[in-house]
Amino acid sequence: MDAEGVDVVVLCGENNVAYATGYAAPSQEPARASATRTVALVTTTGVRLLTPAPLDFEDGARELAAAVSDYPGTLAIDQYPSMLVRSTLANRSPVDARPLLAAAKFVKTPDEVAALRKAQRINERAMDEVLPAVQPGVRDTDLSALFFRQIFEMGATGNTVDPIWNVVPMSLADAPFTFTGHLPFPLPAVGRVLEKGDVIFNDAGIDFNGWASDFGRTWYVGTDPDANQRSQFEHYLEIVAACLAAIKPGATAWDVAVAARDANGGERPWFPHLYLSHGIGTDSAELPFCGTDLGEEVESQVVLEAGTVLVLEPVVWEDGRGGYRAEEVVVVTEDGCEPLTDYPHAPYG
Amino acid sequence: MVDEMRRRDVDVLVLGREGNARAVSGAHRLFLAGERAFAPGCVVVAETAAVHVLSVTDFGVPSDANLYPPSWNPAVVVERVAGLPGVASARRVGVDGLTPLFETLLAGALPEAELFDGESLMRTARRIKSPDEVDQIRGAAVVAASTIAVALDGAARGLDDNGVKAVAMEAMAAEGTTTAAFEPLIARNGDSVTVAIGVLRDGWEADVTRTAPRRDRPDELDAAIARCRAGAAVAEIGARVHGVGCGYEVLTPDERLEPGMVLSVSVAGGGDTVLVTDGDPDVLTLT
Repeated sequence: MDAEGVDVVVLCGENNVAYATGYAAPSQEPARASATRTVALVTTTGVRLLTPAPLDFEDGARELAAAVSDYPGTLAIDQYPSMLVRSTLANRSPVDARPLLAAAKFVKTPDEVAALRKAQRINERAMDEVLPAVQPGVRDTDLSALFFRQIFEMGATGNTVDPIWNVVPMSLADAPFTFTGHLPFPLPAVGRVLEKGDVIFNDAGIDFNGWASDFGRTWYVGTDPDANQRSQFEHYLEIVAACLAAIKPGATAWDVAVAARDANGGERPWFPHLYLSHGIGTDSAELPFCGTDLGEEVESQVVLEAGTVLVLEPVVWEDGRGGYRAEEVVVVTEDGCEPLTDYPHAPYG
Repeated sequence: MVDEMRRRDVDVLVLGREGNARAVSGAHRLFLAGERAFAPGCVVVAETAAVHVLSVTDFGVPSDANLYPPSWNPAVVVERVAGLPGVASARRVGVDGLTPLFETLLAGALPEAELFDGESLMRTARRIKSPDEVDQIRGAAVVAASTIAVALDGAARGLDDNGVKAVAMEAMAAEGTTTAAFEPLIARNGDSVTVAIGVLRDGWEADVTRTAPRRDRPDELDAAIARCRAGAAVAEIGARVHGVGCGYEVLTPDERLEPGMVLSVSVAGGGDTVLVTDGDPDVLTLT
């Protein structure tokens, strides 16, 4: 805040509130979350939390404006929950709080890394129970049921994303339309019955006291991988190894994307509508992003630091023969990086 | 929707809220819990009566909606929105939220346009549910009812809060519904355990609250529901009340009920999802 010359930061986004104050909102659908949101007013000397009446209405917007009026000076805000909030704060000429937040979130403290690790462990132990159930005849939503049972028994404070058990075709010609011509990953679970030989790209994320996990693996339904699939997995490991070698303090987000591309014969090994890698914290995806359509100009300005956390999610794809995708969460250390993910790649080990 | 836009002289709606996008387009995009800052995820144009949905794929998007592709560059997203037929010439553009960045980008891409509160229009347009929409909510109510039965069984056999949540969420997903409107809320008072369950089935919500071990509905709840008649004000119901549809809807105390509104009505120990009709209220979560 000092660096940006800001006197008070108004945080309306729940992940930003969780980051700045430790207050984690309950896990709920967006409209309920919006109507019941807790707002944080952050100054260099303290934090004030308030839960105003719904901000879509005059009462709530006025309540928030009145609280903000206790804090003179330059005001930064992360978002306007409604146009009423925009107009009631107009006289303060708010500046954008997001650059300030992004800079702060970019480096995780040891406690924050520990919180991420805890969320990741719950997610992984839940998958221990799901994996044996990945069999012909099971519905994708049955896997979601098993996953939910496990995470909540282990004390997860929320499920962040509908668990994904995306059956992928061997050929893009058999996939739904996309603007990019690549797979439309991720598709939600719809009650599809898994069949022998299906390949699923799995993706899940939970919340533990405001901190996110991210888990991804490729699983084969009722069969062992064939020689092609094995070589895809080996190639996946090569790409990950190249990324890990590139990740260290001083490297840029673009460097990581280039390392992955170089390890894949010059073709980008990720979904073109997504990215090779994203950060994670109280948001399930946050800076740094590597390999987005923002490209070199933007991503070469993003410099990794010790404490930056990345989720690598490369995709190996051989059209006609399917592919392999998984996710590896890593934290940048003083001289490289170390994994937060601690999970095997079944059935390879 | 388009009728309401024309009535209010609105040229374009740029919507960030998932419930709004869902309600106007029917698009079933991957669910993420929690609120998100505004970003242009769905656009409605009065002139063309077209609905445009931000999505890389047509999977889950009804064929009568149009697609525009996502980008990680907010300026590119706004350019794409501005390039949709009928948007560049718009003068009155409703938004359901904003960020400092999108305010700047939209002002730059649509310099002639006035941005104003589109949420009040959406609230009006979504308030009364069509028979098809009520059927969707009925479907959610069936799942909510079976889920709470499992939760109460769990509570009755002594599960702790995490255990009750776990069996409830498992039961909901086993019914094919993988999204909670809110994750189970559990309150204990001596031997009694009150559980609230809310589900989103295909984007539509229903919620129900019951108390183990007795499970009967409080008399106060029946009395409150009996007051959910067309013409009554929300404040007269004498219970906690909000609207349900594609998620939570805020109702103001002085708002008058009309047939086709769907309410979540709850008192201490019990709650139901209720359809306001021309006659007696229809309790959707009594199945």
